Amino acid sequence: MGTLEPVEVQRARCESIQAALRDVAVIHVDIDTPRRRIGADEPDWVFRLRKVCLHVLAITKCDVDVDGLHAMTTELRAAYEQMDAVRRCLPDAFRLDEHDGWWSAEAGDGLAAYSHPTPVSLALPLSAGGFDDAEAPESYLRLAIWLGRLGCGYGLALGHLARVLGTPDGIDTRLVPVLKRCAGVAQADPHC
Amino acid sequence: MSDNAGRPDVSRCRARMAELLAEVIATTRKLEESLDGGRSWSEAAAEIDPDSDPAATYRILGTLLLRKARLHTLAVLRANESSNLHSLAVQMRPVLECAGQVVFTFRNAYIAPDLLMSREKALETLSKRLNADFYQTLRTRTKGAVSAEDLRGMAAEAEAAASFGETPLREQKAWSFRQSDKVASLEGGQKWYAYLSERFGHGRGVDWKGLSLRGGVVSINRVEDEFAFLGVMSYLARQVAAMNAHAALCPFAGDAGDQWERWVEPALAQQRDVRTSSNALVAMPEPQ
Repeated sequence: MGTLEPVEVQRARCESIQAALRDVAVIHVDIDTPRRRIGADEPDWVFRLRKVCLHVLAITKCDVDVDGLHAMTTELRAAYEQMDAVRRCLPDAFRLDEHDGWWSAEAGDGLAAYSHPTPVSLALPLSAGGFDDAEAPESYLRLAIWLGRLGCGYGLALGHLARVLGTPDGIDTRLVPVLKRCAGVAQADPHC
Repeated sequence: MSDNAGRPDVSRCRARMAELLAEVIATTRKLEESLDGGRSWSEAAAEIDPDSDPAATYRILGTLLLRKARLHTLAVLRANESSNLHSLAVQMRPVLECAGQVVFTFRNAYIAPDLLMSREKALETLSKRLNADFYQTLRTRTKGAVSAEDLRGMAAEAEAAASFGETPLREQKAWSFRQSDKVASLEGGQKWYAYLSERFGHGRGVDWKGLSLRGGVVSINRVEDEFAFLGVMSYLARQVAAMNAHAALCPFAGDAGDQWERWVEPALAQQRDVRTSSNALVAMPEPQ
């Protein structure tokens, strides 16, 4: 692996994906409005996506710094747990190429390091759940990938949700550019 | 009951509770800054001399846990402002883990010796927890490549080395602890931790169409939701105040002479005030 782009570039990348996630959440609220009458037999995954939306909105309010990274990974973990269940209910066309359990495994592995603090874990580098080595670019690159992946998975799920709820045309036209932003930013680093 | 019945009162109580939490976390920040003496924890760790400053390890440990608790509590306050109970709940869990560990550590280091148990027993309790933390973190970071058996093997090797004159190790019994053990030192800690995990973490068993207090996502901005914010923040404010009161017991570098007047008494007074105020603001709902 070569030298990563500097930390400022990685932070800017995270901010760009935060903005894209905000746009995805806005599209979600247009598809599944809070005042919509809920059907008696509505499937769980529709509600799980609402929970993802709440965590995404919280992510967009965080600064991209050490404290913000800790707070964002906590939200990401909760969103990833839900995406694991949502993914199982989506047709192939609306899934990423991840395997069953990928979201849950990621939530229980890298992201979990930020959720269960101990004195020893907090003394580790930022990339491993602690506070040390806070200017290392890899911490923010990982964050960008986690955010971008969520943007892609969540955005694709919204494409299916729009079809299930019979939302008027035009949602795809709005979703596609945002999905491209999430995917493009996450993959922009030549060493990623 | 209509959606808005009782809303003005509970909205005011919720706003006051958020102010109370902000006041408590401001104390956390002051304690954190005093404990780290203006240096990063790694700078402080590099200068540890346990013989001349036995409290240095506790200060570093306290600084790390207080910082983590503070940043997530600020996220809790943001979540309250945007009426996002799901965010508030997931941000609250690491705060409770930190608060529980601070209470556990400083109770065993400064209250338990000679009052609740012998000094040796209290130190052994702390040492076991720190060892378990170290080994558990090592196992997690190496993704199982270093197993508990490997660690026991290393301990055996160290024991053998001891027979050749190296400092002998104490017998290691506790190799791990559960996440919920970290909150066991808090009043109602394990019950609240289980509630937050089940209703807001993995979300198994959630009634999605039910009240937001039970993890639901349909009810937003109803008076029941206001009560949910109030009750959850009330519990959190009490635990953060308890964390501060225990962290204040740690001797601060350079000002041990006025520690009681400067840190312990104000932190205890705030803890009493938080308890009284939150009792007045809410009859705390039990986790469902």
